[in-house]
Formats: sequence, structure tokens, C-alpha cells
Amino acid sequence: MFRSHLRTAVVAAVVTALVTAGGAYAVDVVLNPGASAVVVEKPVTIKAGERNPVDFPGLRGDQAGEPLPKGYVAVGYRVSVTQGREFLYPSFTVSCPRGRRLVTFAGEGPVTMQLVGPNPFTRRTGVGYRGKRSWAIIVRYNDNEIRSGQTISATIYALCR
Amino acid sequence: MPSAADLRRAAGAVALAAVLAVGGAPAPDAGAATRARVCVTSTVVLDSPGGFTVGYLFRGDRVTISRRSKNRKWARVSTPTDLRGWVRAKNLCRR
Repeated sequence: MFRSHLRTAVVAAVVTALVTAGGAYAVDVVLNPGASAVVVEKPVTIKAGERNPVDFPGLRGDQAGEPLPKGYVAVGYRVSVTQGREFLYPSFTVSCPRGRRLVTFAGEGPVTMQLVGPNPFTRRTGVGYRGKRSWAIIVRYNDNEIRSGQTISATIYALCR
Repeated sequence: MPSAADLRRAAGAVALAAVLAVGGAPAPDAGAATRARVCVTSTVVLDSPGGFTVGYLFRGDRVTISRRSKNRKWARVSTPTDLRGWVRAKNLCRR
């Protein structure tokens, strides 16, 4: 599935650089002709009391559509994937607002995530993100159900406290 | 006089007999890894049953089940993409 660790690392580096700069960014054919194009939009912050977009695993008492519980903030990253001839699974770093720490992640729709580690170059999957301000994730999507040229998009959420 | 090799062989035989006597064969879920695939649109992978998110799996993703929770509602899985964690057992089916 991950055909080239080197390619993933290069993509991760570019995405990390771009996410640090802020704003939407894309990974596409410049790096890897024929590969999928992935766009991660500028994160949106959802404050306590605003509509909770998803059920966050591990958080009791929350429910999609209800107000986000007091003391929590959710950060949403809208991700779009346009399938190319080759699969590409870029990683980027999810960050909580200043003074907040990660509690859990949630995805909805056809694009979700898988943990990487404290940074995109971590060699072994690290799951100890709780209490950290930021953590790297891989963008995951169902490559069995997306055709070449098709675009799918969804939002990946991080819950912070 | 028995040689060192004879003694080692005898000790091995005694140890094997002891293991068999106390029922040393592992229970099916304790040690045997079984393969399965995801049979729902997507399912969340958690760090523990009812715990926090580690990642997601999609329909058709193949997993190896290493163990199950006591109530059998959760299965600990690993994937070829180095994703390890717990998923709801009802979201998995045999390959």
C-alpha cells in the first residue's frame, strides 16, 4: 500500500512546511506525476457550545449535532483527494490552538486518518498523542471505492482540551 | 554415565510432558491470529476498547485479529499499514 517510504517522506516534508505557513495547500503531480492530488484546507475551529460535527470516540456525553461540551475545542481539516494512477497517502501535522492539548480524533465521510507519530518522519506508529499539542497523521481513504479522476472530500477532526 | 546431551534431552521431555499435563495448548483466541476483513463502510480503530482514536479502516481492508475482549465485542487487530488497535468485532467478517 505504501509503495515508497521515501516518496511519503518527501510529501510529508512539503505538507508540513505548507501547513506551518497556513492556508490551503496541495500535493500533486509536481512531486509525483500520475499520483493522487490531495488538498488540505486551512483548519476551522469549533468552540464549546457550537454544534458538534461528529461523535468523538472516547469522549463521553458528546453527540453529533449537539453542542460541543464545555472546555473542549474541535479543529477540522477539510481534505480533498483526486485519485490519480498511483495512490498517495500524504501526512500532515494536526495542531490544537495555543494552550490546548489533543484528546482524540474523529473522521466522517470517505477520507479519514491514521496516526503517524509526533512528527511525519516517525518510523514507528506512535499513539501517545493525548496531552500533546500536535501530532502527525496520514490521510486515509478507501482506495477500493475511488476511481481514477474522481474527487472525494471529508473533514478530519481533532478534539482539544 | 549419561552425557550432557542425554540430560538435556531428558529435561526437554519432562518439560514437554508438564506442559501437556496442565493443558498448555493455547485457547483459540489466546494465541492464534485469524484473518478478517472490514465489512462496513468504515470503522474506527481505538487504542483500547471504548478508548481513543488511532485510525480508521474501510470496507474490504484486511486485518489480522490477535485477540478479543472478554465480552467478545471488541477485536484487537493489526493491518499491513502498521495500524494496531481495537475495533468492534461486529464490523469484521471472515475473509
